[in-house]
Order: sequence, then structure tokens, then C-alpha cells
Amino acid sequence: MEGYVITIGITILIYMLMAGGLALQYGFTGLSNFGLVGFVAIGAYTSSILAIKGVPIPLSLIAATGLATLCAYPIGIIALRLGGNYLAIVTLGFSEAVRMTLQTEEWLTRGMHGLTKIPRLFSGWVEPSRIDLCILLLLLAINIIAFLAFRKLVKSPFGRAIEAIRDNETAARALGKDTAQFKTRSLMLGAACAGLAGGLQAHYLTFISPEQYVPLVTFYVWIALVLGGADTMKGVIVGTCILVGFLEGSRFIGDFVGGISEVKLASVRIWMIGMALICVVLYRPQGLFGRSIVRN
Amino acid sequence: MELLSIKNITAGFGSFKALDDVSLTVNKGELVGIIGTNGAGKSTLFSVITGYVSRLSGHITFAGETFDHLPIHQRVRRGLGRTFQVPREFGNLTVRENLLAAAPNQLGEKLLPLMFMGRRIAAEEERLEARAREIISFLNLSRVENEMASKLSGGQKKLLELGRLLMLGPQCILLDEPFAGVNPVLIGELSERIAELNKRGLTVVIIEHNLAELSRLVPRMYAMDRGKIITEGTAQEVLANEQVREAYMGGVI
Repeated sequence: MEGYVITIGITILIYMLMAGGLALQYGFTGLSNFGLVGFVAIGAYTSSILAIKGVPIPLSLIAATGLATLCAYPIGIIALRLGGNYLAIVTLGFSEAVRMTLQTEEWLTRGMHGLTKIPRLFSGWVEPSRIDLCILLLLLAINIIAFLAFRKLVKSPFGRAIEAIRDNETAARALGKDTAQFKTRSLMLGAACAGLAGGLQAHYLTFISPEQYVPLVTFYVWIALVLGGADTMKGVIVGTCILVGFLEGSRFIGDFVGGISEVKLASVRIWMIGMALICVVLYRPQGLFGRSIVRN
Repeated sequence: MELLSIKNITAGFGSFKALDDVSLTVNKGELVGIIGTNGAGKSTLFSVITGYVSRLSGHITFAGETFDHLPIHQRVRRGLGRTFQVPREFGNLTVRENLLAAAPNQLGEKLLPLMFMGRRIAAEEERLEARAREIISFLNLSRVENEMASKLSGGQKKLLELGRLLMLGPQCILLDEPFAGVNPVLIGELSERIAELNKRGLTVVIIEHNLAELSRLVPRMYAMDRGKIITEGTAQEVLANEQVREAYMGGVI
């Protein structure tokens, strides 16, 4: 039981890091990034490949974060000249392109077989039974640092500028802001979070394959933000906890409610998330803990 | 001394010419009005000057520098600001934050300085705060300083937009229908503030449909019709012009 709680905790914290990145992009800058999982995949594969080749995990995680960040740059240049909806499509296309590349470039990624024997975080440092707990604590520390940095960032003049761009980009440009540059930076910072989350997840799971990085992951993070609220840290945290807690916890519905087959249960879980989403959007469009912001 | 000069500007979409060989000049420290019916090309003219719409031919010079190929934000940085017909406030920021966000070249907007130059950024913020407070009280917005901008009335939003422009410390501002949708009391106040700013040396160009208020405010105006400038002169001269009457009021007055 304790092990299971730790597993859920780790999953929540990995998703929370991704959600933090997306919150910066969407909640504070207004960028609809539907390709978040692409950056997660880049982070995961970069860190795994390097670590398998013998690079120490901390260094390979830094490289993973760096590469994910760099990959956001060209996307920014191409897509940020286009309006909001185009960015959603371009980024979704990007994440699928990443996944296809991972599938086909077997010399590097071993294709559909996936990468196995990825070095585990803390292995050899602490006794095997305690590794999960240590990973949990590490993730907790990283999340706390990331969220403190976010808080500082969104309260800074930079945060004020990206919020201004979210509220009215034309006006921001009329005031001399180079909005494309701000948006690119925001996209890159969010991608850094996603890349780091991907790397950490890979070193926790020790096995990754392209089918882990389907758009559904992006949508889960979006659901978390819609539930909790995309423009407050509290919203991000609560939204992720509710989503992952529910996804994991609802496995046990069958134990309490009789007469539901496994197959039906899987559908019921998705149905419940859908209903929750509809209710939130109808009755609390800003999310449970979002500010009631005005969208143009 | 000539500050803004527009020479033979043509702009349009396909075969439609929104601006057809338009030329005008605005001198430093002047207060100039532009009138014309809906669709005459007034707002398009502002958009071409500020870089939102590209011109097909002609030249724009500002403070002796050619503006023909500069991107929008570069034009703003050279001291040319504009407002829009419909207020474009940053709705989820307070009035004060709206003004602070407008300040140009902030060190705190860059990521590296944000990490390492905390003290300089704090000092900069303090300077900007003082400046914002000054402008807010000049525009009589102190009462709503900490309100979300989305909650302001139409007239207050126009004042807020003017305030944001002032944060830029511009040489010249282009106001697109500043009195539209503003209640009469606030129109008087807005008009007074614009005149005061002009007295302090700011060059102002105003597009406006409220002819009574505009002719009280500006000594000189241009009249446009169907993409062309039809006449130019004092308010009386322009409003007495046969072509203006024909175009603007169908010859009724």
C-alpha cells in the first residue's frame, strides 16, 4: 500500500511539472500548446540515450532539459507569427512528428521496441527498497523549486508583459513590445519543464517507448489545467492532484460498486472525467482555483 | 519643424484602394484633427503609419527617419504611439499594472537580468511606479488605480489607454476616436487632458467624429473621403468646405 501511494505521488509530481510548464504557456501567455508531450518525449529520449551511454544522470537530465528548450525555439519562430488556433495545430503536429521520428529512427531509439535498462535514479546510491521514496522526494524538491521560480517570474515585469500579451496582443505590440520574443521565451521555459519531467519519468520507469508519448498525455495535462485553473499555481497543483488521483484511484471503483466488468470500468472512468470537465466548464469556467479572468 | 510626414501613400486590398495617394505633414508640437465619413480611410492611415497595414507605395518619415520598413515595435520605440477605436485594455491587470506594463525597455522583462540583477530591477520598478502614479493622477484615475482594467467604464478605458501611451514618453501620439462611446462629462475631461499634453509639447493627431468637440480642440484639420484627402485648414475652413459638406453630411448643413 505504501508503495502504491508513493507511485501515485511520483506520477502526480511528474504531471505537475508538465502542468506548470503548460500553465506558463497557456495560463499566463495565452499560448495554446497542444504538443506538450513532444517536449516530454524529447526530454525522455535525450536523457535515456545519454544515460545508457554512460553519462551521469544529472548531466543527461540537464541535456534533456536543454534540448527540449532548444526545440521550442524554431516552433516559436514559425508558429508565433500565426494566430492562436494555428499554434495549437502546429504544436500538435510537432508532437506527432516527434513520436513518428522516435518510431522510425531505430538506430537511435530502437523504434517500437523502446529503450530498456535506462539507469534508474539513485540506483547504487541508496538501497533498492528506498529508491522510490528518494525519487518522490527529489521530484517534490524539483517541483517546489520550479514553482517558487514560477511565482517569482509571473510577479516580475516579465510576467506582467506576458499577461499583457495574453490579454491583448495587438495593444502590447502598439506599446512597442516585441511580442514574438516574449512568446518564444515563454514557450521555451514551458518546454524546459516538459523536457525535465520527461527525463525524470524515464529514469523512474527505466523503460520508454514511442507509444507512451501520444497526444492523450498532452490532453491529460490540459484537463488538469482546465479543472484546477491555468493561471494560478494553486490551480495547477490542485488540478493535477485531482486528475491523477482520479485516474489512479478510479481503478478501485469496481471494488466498491459491484457488477461492472473491467472493460466497462475503463469506459466509466473516462466518462466520469468527461462529465467532470463539462461541469467545470459550465459552472466554473476559470477552473476550481483559477482567477476569473476575462478572455478576449 | 516637420515631425511626421506622409508622402503619396497608397494602400489597399486587391483592387480596392483604402488610401489613394495620401500626403500630409504634422509639425512638432502640433495638434491636428482628421475627419471623414466611415470608410474614408482614417484608421487605415493610422495603421499604415504605425505599421499594422503595409503600404503599396509612398513614404513615411518620422523625426527625419524613414519608417517605410520598420516593424511595429521599432516605430513605437522611436516615439510614435497610437490608440485604437475600440479600447484594448489589458483586462486582467490593474490600472497601475497596465501602465507599468507599457513602460519601454524594462530590464526586468529579460530573463537573465531577472535572475541576477534583482536590486537594479527593484530600483527600476520604483522609478516606473512613481511615473505611473504621476500619470494616473494627471488622468484622474487614482480612484480606480487598483481595479482590474476590464471593470472600467468605456471612458475610463480611453483614459487608461492614453496613460499607457504616456508611459512610453512618446514624441507624437495618434488617437483613434478618443471620444467615441465616452459620456459628455468625461469627453470634456479627456479633451482638456489632451490639450494640456499638447501644451507641454506633445504632438497629437486625432481621428474623431465628434466635430463640435474636435473643432474646439484642434487648430488645424484634414478631411478625408474615399481614401483621399479632400481639404486641409482650420476647423471653420474645413467644415465650410463644399466637398466636406457633400461627403460628410450629404450637403445637409
